[in-house]
Amino acid sequence: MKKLFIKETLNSPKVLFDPAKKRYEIAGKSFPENSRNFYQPVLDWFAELTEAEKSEKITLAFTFEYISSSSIITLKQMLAKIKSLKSKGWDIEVLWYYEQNDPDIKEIGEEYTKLIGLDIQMVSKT
Amino acid sequence: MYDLVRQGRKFMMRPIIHIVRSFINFAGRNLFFNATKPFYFNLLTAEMKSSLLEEQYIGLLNRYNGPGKKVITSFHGQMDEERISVLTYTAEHQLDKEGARRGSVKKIFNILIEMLQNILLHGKVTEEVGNPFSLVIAQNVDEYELSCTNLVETELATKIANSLDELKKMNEKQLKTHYLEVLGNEQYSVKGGAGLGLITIALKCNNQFTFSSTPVNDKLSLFTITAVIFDK
Repeated sequence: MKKLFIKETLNSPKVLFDPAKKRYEIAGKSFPENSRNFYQPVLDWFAELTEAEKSEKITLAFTFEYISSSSIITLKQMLAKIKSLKSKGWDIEVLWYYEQNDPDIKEIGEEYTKLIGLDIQMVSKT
Repeated sequence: MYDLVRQGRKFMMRPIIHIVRSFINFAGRNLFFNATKPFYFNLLTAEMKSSLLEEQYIGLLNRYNGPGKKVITSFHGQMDEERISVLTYTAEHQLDKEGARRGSVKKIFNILIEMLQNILLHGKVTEEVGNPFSLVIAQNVDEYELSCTNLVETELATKIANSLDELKKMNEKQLKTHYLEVLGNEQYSVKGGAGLGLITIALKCNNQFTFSSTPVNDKLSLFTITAVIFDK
């Protein structure tokens, strides 16, 4: 598994996939002009996982402040891909962090669980 | 230097537009805002066309003079991706500084992103005037009003107006159900997010939005959408 790092900007989140340190996170604001282009490297990363990497546990943490509607659509596709990989034997856990006073972000995580049927762990930030 | 000259020319154009409007009002019909085909539009220069949007912007700003009213963030100019980042950043910090509740700030931020991205993706870019738009975020006693105006093709303006009319008929539960239906079925298009953005705006302001479309010639219209967020 290769390392993937995309620096956070005013309209796009930090992406850090670091297999050596077992850290997988996407955090920040997500409203890039073209969310499909922005998240394509992440979608490619999942597409390049090999059979040999099935034994590696991946705990992916999402911590969003804001998500635009176009990002919500692209993230849905990413989570559907993760569900597909899980059903084929890859060990991927998804954590969805939200602030207690931010019901909107919490709701988005819950909607993904309903829509995709993926087990997403909701985690309240203290 | 060019900007100064341009500003000067715009300043000179304003009285001319006022004269045109006065003439039309004198004739008993406010064709400037209501006409289906303003006959004089094609005679105007690019600066004057841009000024039509500026006129509307200044009119909007003037609405917030008075007790309990205050403009938080406003802008009139060209749209690009960087502009969205800067305006959302500025609006969020200004709202925090003004003591808006965190919940209200989040709602305004979400609506603002959707409105600005709609303009970036669907606004009509013309050679003469680019993709101009105006934005006003203002406090009106215990509520915030967020208003965006831009140039769109009239055909698209009609389509957006029809979609917003449909959303207006829905209650909160119906809006939420519709949102999930669209999210569940929508195929991602190159322009992205069509439909979901408007539903998001309606949801975040509890359907407290208004809109208007004003034709400026036989192809283009000025489209305005205003969302109201109660600071509770």
